Amino acid sequence: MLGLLVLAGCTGRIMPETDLVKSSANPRFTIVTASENDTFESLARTHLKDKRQGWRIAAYNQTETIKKGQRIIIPKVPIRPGGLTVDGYQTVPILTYLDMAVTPKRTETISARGFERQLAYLSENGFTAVTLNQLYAFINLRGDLPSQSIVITMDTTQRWAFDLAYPVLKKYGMRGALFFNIHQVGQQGNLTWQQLAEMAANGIDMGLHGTALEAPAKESLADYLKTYEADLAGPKKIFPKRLKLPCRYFAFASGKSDDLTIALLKKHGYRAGFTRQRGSNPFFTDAFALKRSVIHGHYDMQKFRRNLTAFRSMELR
Amino acid sequence: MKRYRLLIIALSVPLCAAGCRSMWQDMTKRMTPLPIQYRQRAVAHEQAGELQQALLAYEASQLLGPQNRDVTEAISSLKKTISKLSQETYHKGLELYKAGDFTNARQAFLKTVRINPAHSAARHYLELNLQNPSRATYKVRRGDSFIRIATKVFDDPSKAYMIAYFNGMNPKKPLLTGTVLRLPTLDPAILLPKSNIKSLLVRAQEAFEAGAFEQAAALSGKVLTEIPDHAKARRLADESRISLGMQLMEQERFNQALVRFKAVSANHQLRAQSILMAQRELKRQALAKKIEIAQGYLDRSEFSATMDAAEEILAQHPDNVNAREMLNLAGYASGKALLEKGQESEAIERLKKVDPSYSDTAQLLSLARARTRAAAETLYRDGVKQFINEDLERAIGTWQQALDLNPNHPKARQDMENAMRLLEKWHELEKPPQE
Repeated sequence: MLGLLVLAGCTGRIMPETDLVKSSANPRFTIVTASENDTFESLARTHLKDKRQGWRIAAYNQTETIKKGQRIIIPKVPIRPGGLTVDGYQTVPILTYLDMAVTPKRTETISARGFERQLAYLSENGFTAVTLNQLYAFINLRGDLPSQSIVITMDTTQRWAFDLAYPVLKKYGMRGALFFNIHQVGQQGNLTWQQLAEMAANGIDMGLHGTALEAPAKESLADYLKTYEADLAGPKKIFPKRLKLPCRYFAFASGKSDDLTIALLKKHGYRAGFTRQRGSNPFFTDAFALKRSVIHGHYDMQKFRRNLTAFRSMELR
Repeated sequence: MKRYRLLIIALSVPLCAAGCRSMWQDMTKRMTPLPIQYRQRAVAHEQAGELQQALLAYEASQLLGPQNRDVTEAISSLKKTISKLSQETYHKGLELYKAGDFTNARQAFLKTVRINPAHSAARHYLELNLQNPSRATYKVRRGDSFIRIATKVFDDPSKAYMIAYFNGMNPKKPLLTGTVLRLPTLDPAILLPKSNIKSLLVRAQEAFEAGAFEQAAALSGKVLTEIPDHAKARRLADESRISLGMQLMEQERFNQALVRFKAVSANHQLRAQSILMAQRELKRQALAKKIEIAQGYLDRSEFSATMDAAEEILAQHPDNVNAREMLNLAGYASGKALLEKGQESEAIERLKKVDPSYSDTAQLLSLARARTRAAAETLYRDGVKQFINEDLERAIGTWQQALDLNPNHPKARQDMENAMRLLEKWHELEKPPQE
């Protein structure tokens, strides 16, 4: 009897919150009353124009489910800009794959099975693969990222990106980004525009992989620079036509950034440039010298994990 | 049995208590109105030093609930704290940066941004200055331009746009004095050899001074191919082209002069004027050529061709005396000749184009018209005779000829129309009756 009384008390009717306004908005929040079919994703899609931001709404409201009639606060500004806390700051590791095969013949080439094992590890250990736009918003203090965010990139125009990597990324529901050389598309053994378009339409970000900058030969310096600039400017028109998305991200050919290319990328409205300098990226990283860690085929899981630093401790109270 | 009941009660009380603890906490939370929940969160954040998160929670509380003076005051006070604290940490960071202690400076700037993410100066240090403290910079002075800076720094004015874009600036916009520019590091292979440009410019200047404008324009043009914004080369090229154009004008090579003038920069003060002058001379040249052709026809007594050529000139230059004179001469001579041949209508057409005061044109014209009218009258009378003889079709034809000669003949038109109507009725009467 006593137990029943206690239980009855626990499940008793909650008092109505008569002091709540029906729905409100200001530049920093939107407050909504949840309807029956609302989910964090649907609210994020409606109010933040990005369904992937659902986790922020859940986190801010400190709830895992939405009930009909529940008041939900949708933060429109970053909750923790730059991932800064009193104990340190968030960093975003960017992984890069250069070659993949079913049966690798070189130690640098990663096996498709090895790649899957790495994605499984990331998935099981709470990592979220984010998009290049999300990363860009983060480094500009305009967006939050899940605490263990990662970016998965591939530098290739070869078929393995479509045949091997893309299905695994899809299987684990992970976003990825492909940097390809526009001049090599459609060549034998390489990706076609159709395959690129399919990947782009299914969550793979697309970026331009640069062509190596060699010293000017016989042509005049002005002509040489004009040609080099055209290589960077051309894809700005081709991407929207072929892939239905803008060309905003660039991977440096040699893996190292150079100031000439940076100046030209800025001129033509690129948002960020990616190097192959190992390391993880805080919000204050130079957007045109983003660090990426190349993952080679001979890496074991321990070596792989070393490239996943997602937080840097520092006393910031 | 009683012992079992006691045991069940004894066990169920702690179980329920434990099970309900989390539910109790949840229930307490759910029973607390949302504005108060967020206020509590704000206080907790504030105590933890998370001022931005505290501010956000206070604002949520304010938005959710009725106006609460405490919350409004808390927000106001928190904003002041954020501003004060962030300035303090920023200045600390600045001192450390100036002392070369970049590690601790970074930490101080990070604290600043954590407290106040809108602190742009702290972000600037974190994102630019501390990324590469050894990067060369340049502080803009009065009168500086990107070209001047590129020349100073790289000995290559063609890299002006690179400095601008590298700093996220528009190379065409003026620079503000005091702006600190980060200088890109450029591979010497992509820098223009200074000696080439200098030597080209010196040669261009020498050629210009020697009056070899064609060569001066070509040499400065070469510089402009490499450095399109090179002001000195542009000035030299423009002056060379203007001078060369003038030379060509003197030689009456107006087309070539026009080409040179058009190649001058759009904003050059002499460009529009020079182009207009060349175009005017070209028109004058074309007119002189046409007059020469017309004069040739006249000299060969080709009056009809003379008149066509003169009329074409007068259509464009109505006041041209030469063309008017040629038209009078040719029109008079050919009109008179036609009149003498009895071709009054053709004579009238020619004489009408001649100035009426020219020689005896007026008399010739009235004579031709009188003769035409007389001929028309004769034809009219012939038509009347044919009508009386019931030859209606011939009468109509003859009256038409009379009207061709004199469209204002008082009777011919009316009689012709009557005859046409009669002829029509006649044809109707001749048709077999329809069943």
